[in-house]
Amino acid sequence: MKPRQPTWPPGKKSAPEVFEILYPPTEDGHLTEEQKKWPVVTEEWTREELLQQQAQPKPPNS
Amino acid sequence: MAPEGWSEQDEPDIAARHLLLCREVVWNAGDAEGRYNLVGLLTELRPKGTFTLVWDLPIHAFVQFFGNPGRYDIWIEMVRLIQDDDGEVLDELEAVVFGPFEINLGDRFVSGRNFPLVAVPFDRPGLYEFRVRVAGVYDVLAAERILVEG
Repeated sequence: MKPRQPTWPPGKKSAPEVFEILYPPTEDGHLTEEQKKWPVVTEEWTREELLQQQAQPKPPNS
Repeated sequence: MAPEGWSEQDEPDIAARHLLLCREVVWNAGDAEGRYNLVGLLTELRPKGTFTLVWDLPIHAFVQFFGNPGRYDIWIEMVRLIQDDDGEVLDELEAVVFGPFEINLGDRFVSGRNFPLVAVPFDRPGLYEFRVRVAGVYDVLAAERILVEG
């Protein structure tokens, strides 16, 4: 039977909930061998930084 | 059209009413009415690097499940959407599949689950869609899109 969208039980202000953090079996098991060679990025541009970066002239391809 | 081995007639015993992407999910031990805080809801990413790249800052996929109690194998799938100049989605490419994550759904009214996604590969800037799937069912339980700029 397909579950229905829950509705609040009558007379209750809130519903019991459970919360859980789940991890996959391996942290990089979803990457292909090629993707495992890609550079790892751990920093973000701000929107302003990215716009400045995009406005800079690109070096010609060698 | 469902792929081979999958049935469009199958109706899952589990459903999801939200999928939200954020930087962190914080457990509120002392708040029975609001058990968790979602910190930094993500709608855009701007990786500081050149594509192709692997994004190694946390992306948490937060999902609220409900349905029949039982054990389910869940996957989070990410696809890149191909758009035309008007933003219309024409196609999708290069699915990345995170999982399986085994969940035990009890008889609670709603069950929140947090899936930390690490090492997310992006081959180019664009619009990406994350989807929640349950084993054996073709239909997506929930989906959310994020724009990767660069």
